[in-house]
Amino acid sequence: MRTTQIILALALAGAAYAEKPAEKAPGGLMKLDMDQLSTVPLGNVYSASKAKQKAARAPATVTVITALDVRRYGWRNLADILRSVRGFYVTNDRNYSYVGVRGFGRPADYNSRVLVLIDNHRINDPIYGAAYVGNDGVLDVDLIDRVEVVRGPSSSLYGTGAFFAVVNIFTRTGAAMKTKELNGEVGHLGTHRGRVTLGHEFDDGSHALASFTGYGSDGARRLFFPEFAGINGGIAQDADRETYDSAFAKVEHKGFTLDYGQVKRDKTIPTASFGTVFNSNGSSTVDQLKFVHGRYDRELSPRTSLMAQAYANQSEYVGTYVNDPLGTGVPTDFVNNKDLSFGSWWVGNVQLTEQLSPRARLVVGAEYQKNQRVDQSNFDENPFVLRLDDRRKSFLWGAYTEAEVQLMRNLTFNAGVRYDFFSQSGETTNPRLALIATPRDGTVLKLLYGTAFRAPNNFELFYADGGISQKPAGVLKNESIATYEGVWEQQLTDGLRGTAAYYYYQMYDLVDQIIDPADGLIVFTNQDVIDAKGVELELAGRFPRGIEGRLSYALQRTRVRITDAELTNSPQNQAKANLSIPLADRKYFFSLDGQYVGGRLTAAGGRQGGYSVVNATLFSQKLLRSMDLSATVYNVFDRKFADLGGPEHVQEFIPQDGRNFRLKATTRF
Amino acid sequence: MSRSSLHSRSARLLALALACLIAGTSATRAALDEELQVQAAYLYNFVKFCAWPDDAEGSPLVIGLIGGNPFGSALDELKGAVVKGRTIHVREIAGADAARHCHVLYVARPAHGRAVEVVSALGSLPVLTVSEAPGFARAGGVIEFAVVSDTVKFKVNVGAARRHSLKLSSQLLGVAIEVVKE
Repeated sequence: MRTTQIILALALAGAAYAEKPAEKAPGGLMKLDMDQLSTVPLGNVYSASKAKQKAARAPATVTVITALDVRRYGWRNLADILRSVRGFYVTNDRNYSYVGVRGFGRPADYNSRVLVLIDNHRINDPIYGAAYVGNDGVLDVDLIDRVEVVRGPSSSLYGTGAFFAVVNIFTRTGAAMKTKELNGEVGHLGTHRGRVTLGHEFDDGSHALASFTGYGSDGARRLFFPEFAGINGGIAQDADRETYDSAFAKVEHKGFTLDYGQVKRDKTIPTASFGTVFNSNGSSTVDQLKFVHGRYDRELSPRTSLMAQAYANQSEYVGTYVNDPLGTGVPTDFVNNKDLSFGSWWVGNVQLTEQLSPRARLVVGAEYQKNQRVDQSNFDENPFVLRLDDRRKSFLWGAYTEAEVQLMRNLTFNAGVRYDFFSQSGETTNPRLALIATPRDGTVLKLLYGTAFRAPNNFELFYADGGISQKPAGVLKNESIATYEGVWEQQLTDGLRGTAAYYYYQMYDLVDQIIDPADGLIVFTNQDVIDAKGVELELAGRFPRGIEGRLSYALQRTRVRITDAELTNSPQNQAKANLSIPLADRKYFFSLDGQYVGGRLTAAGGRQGGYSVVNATLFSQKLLRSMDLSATVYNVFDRKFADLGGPEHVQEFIPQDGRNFRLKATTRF
Repeated sequence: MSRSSLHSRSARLLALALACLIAGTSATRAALDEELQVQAAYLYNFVKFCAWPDDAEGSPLVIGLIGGNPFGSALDELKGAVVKGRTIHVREIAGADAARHCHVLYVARPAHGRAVEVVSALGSLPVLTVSEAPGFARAGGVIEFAVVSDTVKFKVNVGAARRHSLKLSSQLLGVAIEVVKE
């Protein structure tokens, strides 16, 4: 700890005292053509302070992904997007995708430690804290305008679950809604997808959009798992199918925005998770989410603006698990177990943003969430045996404020705090402090401190399956985290920006599964303190002729304090590379998207070697007048790699797809 | 390490870094607003992709700014630059009368209120009018900047361009997010 502190301090001191470089030639952007100029980001972000501000002034480090990035890199879902983000990694168990950040990635946590927002409205549910990022995600990535990824704790603004990061997805807005599009895709493993999007601009300047997406995939026809070598030679046949359909609609009228989204995904489980029958292809999960969200923004005066939002979400999960209670292997002896949940909740949020003076801004807000139905049940179908019927209601409210004060021309202080009361797990207060300096043009230094919490969800508190495998915890404390961060952002040349960040966090009362030795049942308990630290380095470049790229490296070390052991599924090293090159007078973009995920400790105590994957996309925006075409080869070098299994898996490793492809055509009419 | 000892170490670290920062603040200047930097670079491109009836090598090409110069040093590189054999001059001008002698007229924020008035005073003179005033293109201006998805885009009124006897290249029109026919 001490050494790293000294290094950080030296780095900051060096930055402050370093020789002033030769005056940067103004207007470096003059070298860019109009196409490029139209994609130069202005550097504004919203999600770090719930108010528009320059990313350089934000009390966190923020990565912004644009709609153009999504298209030219061939990203298929939010998981693909996040894989490219510095310090993020995704673990896929061929059913769900779990996001890891800063060395912390718990398979089976349903992303409850990353807050996912769509147009500033919370997606994570109260049952599992879940926000799905794979094909089960509620929003078609083609409808994304931009994604802001805010690192670090943000409970000071957002309350529960804004633990490691906030991912805010902004959908198309304004003139960008004014399109009519038809999109078709085919991919390997019998994958096909279609989308129709209809948008309109009315004479009074308001906009409306409706979009529908359908998807189907056979998945891997034969998946080999050596752990099940005794059954069908270890091959799971036709057990990787996936279908989804989703819809999204949005209306903007003056300051009002109303949006509706829904998704229903059905996935066959090939891994025989939770002790189910291997190679039965009858085990599956169906996940649904629906939401309606209204928002009103109004400038009450030139200095004061009001934001009011209200939304209602509904989630439904049906898991079908084929069990063989007698262990005969005879299909007539199999019993279907149904695992269900239903959630219905609504939220109201009001916020005032006041520019007190040119140098001071204040944000004040309050939020109320009513969890109308948080139901979990479990039963065997035939013969009928009810194992769980747990119905709950809960509520929470929070009040928050954040002040940004420019102490000197080049020094900004940002302080925020939020109080939360949750009917199930009590009250908590979480601050965030940031000191942001621009000692000279092109240099930004940030010192950040913040805490965050995650209220235990109802799955962790109350789930049980009648004494077969899991019993309820009943009472759990909030999980909490304290994070310290130092960030140095440096404009190196006109087009090249460097970021170096150091973080240290302590996590308390981690809610995780253990097996109670008294009865052999799984139960969630609050566990020991976790210490972690890491360094992240990134270069982002934008060069003449439209070449753009990012290169990042993350070094992360996690440690369970009491045992001094590293966390499982915590890669010590990660690297990402993204490069997009326009060809033939910008008719085509050739883009490479590569990730390296370093070695990870497995749940069984083994160590998995690192892997790297490279994806390549050829994208044409103007090949035909109104048609975009793209072709992507994923995992170009056909690397055999696997992600780690979770506690519900017999498998230590779950193999991922080898080389595969996708062709995509989008036409506007 | 206990929570409290961590806090005290962090406090020391914060204090040290703060001292460094304050010490380093003498050699500073305000960063230019990115939006205006992009607009300035667009102006350079507009000059390249627009043809004036008096286009002749060696003659000066004047960019007039009405309502002050919000660009600061961002336009410095344009001054004296040569496009199509014409040297670019940048001038701040006071009113519509002086605007008659410009090739490009940028209506800056303080003059947004009289943008329409300035444009109509120009009649059919060959002046490429540019502004970020909302509704500028629909009100008869030639090019209007707009911020969309945190990037600077622009709309073009081709009818207004024709009225001013300006030929805008298809490349310029191809990048526009909206082409107003007037």
